[in-house]
Amino acid sequence: MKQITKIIFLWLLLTAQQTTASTIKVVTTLTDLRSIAEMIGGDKVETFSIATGFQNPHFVDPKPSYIIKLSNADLFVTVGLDLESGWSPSLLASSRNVKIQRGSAGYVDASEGVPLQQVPSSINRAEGDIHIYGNPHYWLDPLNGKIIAKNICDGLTRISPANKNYFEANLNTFNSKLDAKIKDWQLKMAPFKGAKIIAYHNEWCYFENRFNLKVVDFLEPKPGIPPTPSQLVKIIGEIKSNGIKVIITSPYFSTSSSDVVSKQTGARTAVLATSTGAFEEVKTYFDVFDYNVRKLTEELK
Amino acid sequence: MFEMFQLDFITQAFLISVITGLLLSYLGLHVVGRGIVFVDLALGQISSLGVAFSDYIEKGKTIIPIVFTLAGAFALSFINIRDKRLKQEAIIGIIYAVASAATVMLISKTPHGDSDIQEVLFGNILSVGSEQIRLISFVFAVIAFVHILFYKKIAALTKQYENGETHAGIFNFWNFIFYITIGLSIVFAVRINGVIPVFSYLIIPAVSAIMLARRNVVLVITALAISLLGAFFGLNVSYHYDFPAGSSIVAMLGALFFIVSLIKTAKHFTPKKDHLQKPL
Repeated sequence: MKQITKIIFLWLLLTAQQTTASTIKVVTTLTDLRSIAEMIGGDKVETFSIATGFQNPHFVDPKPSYIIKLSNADLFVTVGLDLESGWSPSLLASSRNVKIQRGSAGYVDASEGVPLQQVPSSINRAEGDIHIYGNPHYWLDPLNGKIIAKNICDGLTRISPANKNYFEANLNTFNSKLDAKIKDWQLKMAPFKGAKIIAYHNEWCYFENRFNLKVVDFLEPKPGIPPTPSQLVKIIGEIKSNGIKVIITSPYFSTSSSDVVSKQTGARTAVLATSTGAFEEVKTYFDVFDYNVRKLTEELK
Repeated sequence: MFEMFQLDFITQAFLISVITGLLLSYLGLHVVGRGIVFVDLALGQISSLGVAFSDYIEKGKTIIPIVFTLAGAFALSFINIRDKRLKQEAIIGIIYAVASAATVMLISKTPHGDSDIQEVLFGNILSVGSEQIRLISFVFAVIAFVHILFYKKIAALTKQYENGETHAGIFNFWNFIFYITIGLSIVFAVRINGVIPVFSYLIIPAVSAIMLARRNVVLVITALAISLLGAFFGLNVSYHYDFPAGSSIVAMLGALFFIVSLIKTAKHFTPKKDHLQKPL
């Protein structure tokens, strides 16, 4: 037993040493940031994402490996605003890694320059404005993917100026591929322009606006508050009067409430990918939209 | 086995676990002795109710949960049951259920409330700050000091409960002191460790010690030792196999309890010497 742990530990040390040679170690909070960092950094980076793609990014239970990864990281990429405020600042502090603290060269706030939506005009928690800086689910607009990629590219260049041209070339490839993809996705979604839908949690506004959908209401009466009976009654009424066909939700929410609504109205529940890795087949940031567009066009037909 | 201490955050987590484990496993001997094992969950829930309430009125985030818990501890110290058919545990259960329900009701009117509750109920020792360590060390030192100073008074009271002698008076000062110290240690311990680890520190070492030992000094030493072993091996498991720290410590305390049960069972089936069986 002791021998085995010793051997494993030595092996970890050795492999860690081998990779320190030249690769830049990038730790991201979300899998989408990781996917983009991989595409920009190419073979110059080694990436790790703390949250998984099927986990609610608001809540992550710290594990030792997260802090170890952070303490060895060269670059830290966060969604920012207050999406991960419950767990990432304390993990970052525990890592004691000065290179990646807020304000250091190795700290990338991916939200920098993103046009934010739902920024509250007054901060009043009673109204359900849980995000005082604006809605933090901005990566769900693929166009924002370009801003995220630019921020990551800048961060990588700060850490490794010698590879500036390499990262920029990758950024250009990423952008042109994304542009082509967005055209394709918008074309597929065009027939459903203005389609009304219901969502579980208020995390779709960026997606909704990019693809011209209309989220009429949420199953949660206020963000973070589980569906109440009166809310479900209200939703059932709205579905019937608007002829709504689909309720969209995420892998980490229970579908029991939307099942009740489905039974009453015939509207179908579509579990969409909120992040890379939400489902087996969603392997990259591009796959998130491939999956969601395919799922929605099937359900909205 | 010890290489994990090269990492600052593991050393800090161990320090916190030792501080919490030592105090709680000692208090646990009183808690188990009095037959009030769910007092931790009830007070933890009252503390959450305090968080929900402070969220609702949008002020007093730090102080209100503490005030609520102390008020709850104060109320608990008044429980004085004369009817033999009833147990204190039943009243504590009622307090737990009602506090939980009230919390749910308040949260349903407060956005973001659930994540604040999560913060209170699921602390994580892997990401504690040094101010938190200083604060909890100070509070726990004061509590330990009170218990050392008034050991005889509080122990005598617990003995009364163990023997089922309910004392007449409506208000007993030492009982009040006992509940206040329990309340304070639970509020602070739960914020950092989480409610389930705190419950385990309070109950598992005490129960295991009672199974193994009879004399008071041995009891205390055994309980403290079990909490230390649980913290050390739990963190080792968390570090080597990458599990959340709190749950690993709870699992390890559970494993220690299992070993103690085996020892106890083995003892039961070996021939006994008479003088060991006599109650003290």
